[in-house]
Amino acid sequence: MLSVKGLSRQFGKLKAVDNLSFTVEGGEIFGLLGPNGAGKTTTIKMIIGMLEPSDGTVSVCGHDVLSEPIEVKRRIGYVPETCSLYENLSGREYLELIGNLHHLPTDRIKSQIGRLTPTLGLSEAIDERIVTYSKGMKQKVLLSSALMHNPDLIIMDEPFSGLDSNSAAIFKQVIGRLAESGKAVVFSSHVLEVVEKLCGRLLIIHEGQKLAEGSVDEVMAKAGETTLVDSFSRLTGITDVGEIADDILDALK
Amino acid sequence: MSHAGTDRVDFHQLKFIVKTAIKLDLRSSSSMNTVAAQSSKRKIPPLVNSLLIYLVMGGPLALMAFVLSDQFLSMLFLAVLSMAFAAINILVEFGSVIMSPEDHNVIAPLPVNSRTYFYSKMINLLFYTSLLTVSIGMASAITLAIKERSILYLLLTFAVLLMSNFAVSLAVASLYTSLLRIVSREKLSSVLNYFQLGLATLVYIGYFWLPDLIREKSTKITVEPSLYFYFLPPGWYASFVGFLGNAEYPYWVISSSIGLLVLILLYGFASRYLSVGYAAAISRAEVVSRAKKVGVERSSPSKTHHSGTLLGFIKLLPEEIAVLRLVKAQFRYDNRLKMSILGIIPMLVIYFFLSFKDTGGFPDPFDPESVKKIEFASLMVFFALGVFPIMVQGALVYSKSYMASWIFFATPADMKTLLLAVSKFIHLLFILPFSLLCLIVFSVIFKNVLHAAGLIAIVYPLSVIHFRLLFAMMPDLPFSKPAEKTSTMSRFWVLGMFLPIFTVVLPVYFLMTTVFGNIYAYGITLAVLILILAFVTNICRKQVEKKVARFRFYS
Repeated sequence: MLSVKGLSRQFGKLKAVDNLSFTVEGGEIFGLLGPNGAGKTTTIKMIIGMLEPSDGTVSVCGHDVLSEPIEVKRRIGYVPETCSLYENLSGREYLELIGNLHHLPTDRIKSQIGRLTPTLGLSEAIDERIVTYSKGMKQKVLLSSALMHNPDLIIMDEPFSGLDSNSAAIFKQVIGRLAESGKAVVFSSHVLEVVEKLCGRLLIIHEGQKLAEGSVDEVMAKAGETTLVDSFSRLTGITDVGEIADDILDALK
Repeated sequence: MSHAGTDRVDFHQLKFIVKTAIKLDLRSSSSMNTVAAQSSKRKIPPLVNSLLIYLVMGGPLALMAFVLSDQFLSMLFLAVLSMAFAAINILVEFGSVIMSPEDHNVIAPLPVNSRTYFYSKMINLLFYTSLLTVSIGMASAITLAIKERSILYLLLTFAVLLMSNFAVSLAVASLYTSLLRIVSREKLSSVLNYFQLGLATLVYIGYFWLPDLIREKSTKITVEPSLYFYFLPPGWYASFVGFLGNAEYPYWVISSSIGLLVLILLYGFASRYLSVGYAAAISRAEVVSRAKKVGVERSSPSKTHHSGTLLGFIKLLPEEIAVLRLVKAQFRYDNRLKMSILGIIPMLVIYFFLSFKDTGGFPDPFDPESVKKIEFASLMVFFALGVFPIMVQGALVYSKSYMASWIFFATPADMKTLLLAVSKFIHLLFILPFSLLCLIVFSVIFKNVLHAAGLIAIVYPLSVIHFRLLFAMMPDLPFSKPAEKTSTMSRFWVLGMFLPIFTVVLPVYFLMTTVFGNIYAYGITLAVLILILAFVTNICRKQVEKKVARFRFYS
């Protein structure tokens, strides 16, 4: 479904992503992990065709992102990290816009909005302007817009950010069901417990480079730790979290 | 990512993107929180406000169209204005229409090809500039139709206005996009800023110079306009009046053909380069330039050190320090703010130039013989003192970062000090230095420092009074209101172009011709002005105090 080979991206002298390669199959939930600034969002933006790679290739359902960007975008549903929405539109207007840009028939757009919004708890606010929405509601609009064209590959960048626990639980269920229906899901998150529960495989990157790839057990084995949290800390070079906390508190004195 | 459009325009997508863009602009919210955003639905959209202002501004142009005997010259004036307004509006207000990194975040992940994106951007841009130019030319079009007793003049005037407008819009879009070919993406963002500044200066100079040139030539050849006019860019479109038999054959045929050819070429050029890929490049350039600037700051912390004083000796309150730091940081990173402030510099030069070009100098107000020669045009330099402080205030209030203004409400900062800090900085960092610059220039012209100081001693309090009165009416927190299309230009025309004539320019003119010749009258005038200044300063503080209640809650 998704094939990434030798993907790199350079910003001036900064190498944000350095020679990344991985594949994701249909029905798989793939976690992209890394500390802040590791290159996760840059990687995702190159996969969805928003950012030109300095090197390497990305192919989605056999379509190359450089030579067939429109075909790739038709097959992807993307939930961005930041709530990039036209906030002066209502939720309904935004979803209608996205549906139309995906060439969905008007009846289907209406029915998708009618079916998606109540289940996500957006019914009452759907005709209000997005600027009035909470962060969680905006995330739900983004999720709806990413799913309404029934994509083969769903990419979510920090999808749980700003969601209350009920909404997060719904999101987790949605991700699971999407994978069960044969779709590939790639998501990046800092919530390692969720990653541990949801992801069949994961990739840890740091400073743009691959540190580990495999199932949760394989990654823990590689790090020589018994939890994913400890494995993540060890692999990304943080060994004594307590000491850092002490330093912060000392600075406040 | 290669979006370079070999694909055809997707008219289905085009319809929805354009519809959404227009809907968004008509709905631009005036405030940052939810309640206010909802209530803003009831407000008149800023675009409608601007159209009404432009409609009224078209009145004097209609008078000119009525008076001028030659229809080609009437059209030429309208074409000059249409081009200048379109260019100024694009440069000041619609830069984001051509190069919007925000669109990139929403549109780029969607299956929208470059050609569709280009058409939606161009339609969006032309929609606004056409509305504005048609508004300003409306009265002239009706006047010409009545004067010539033919509805064809109405249609032709609109055609001339639209063609001139399209030519300029496409030219600016082409210039922007072609820059990508010669400038590295990393440098693009900052290069664009200065390119925009240079272009704005050229447009302003052209705007002031061309009508002057036409006036000069047309007085000599009232019946037969110069051949030269047909081959100026506005002449290409004005010459379409030849279709109604009101221009010199065969010039109008050649000239209008050139106009059409240029439009087609510009269209082809712009459509080649304006794309989603272009928006992506701008977006990346912004990220990189921001990252670089942050990098520079980190490596030289001494640069960010702040002593708590202004100009090295004026002690600042903590709130004022905060505002000053914010303004400095925003100036570094916010292109709109930077361009609004830097854009004033060439305009100041133009105002200086206008003041002296026709009069051959400035009359010494203390010399009775010299003061008799005073011309109103000379006072344009003081007009700048009335106009630009208000423009700077607008630039400091309307910002894309307005959402971050919650911080003022979440800290125990004194709201009155925060509000007054904006006024204080404009006074100390703009009005005062500009007055000092005038002092130096007039000292050289008069060859008498005391006379120059005497003139500035009157002008300076007048400009401060003018600014403080306006500020007291509408104090606002820095960077607290969303930057909306047309808001800057409307502010410029309403507060900038008309008000200073009555509050600064005419009083200076009156005082120069009446009290400067008499030392006692001068002394009394100066004392009265100082008293009025103290009174207005007090009123301003009290007004701001009263309005602080409005800023008690984040709304």
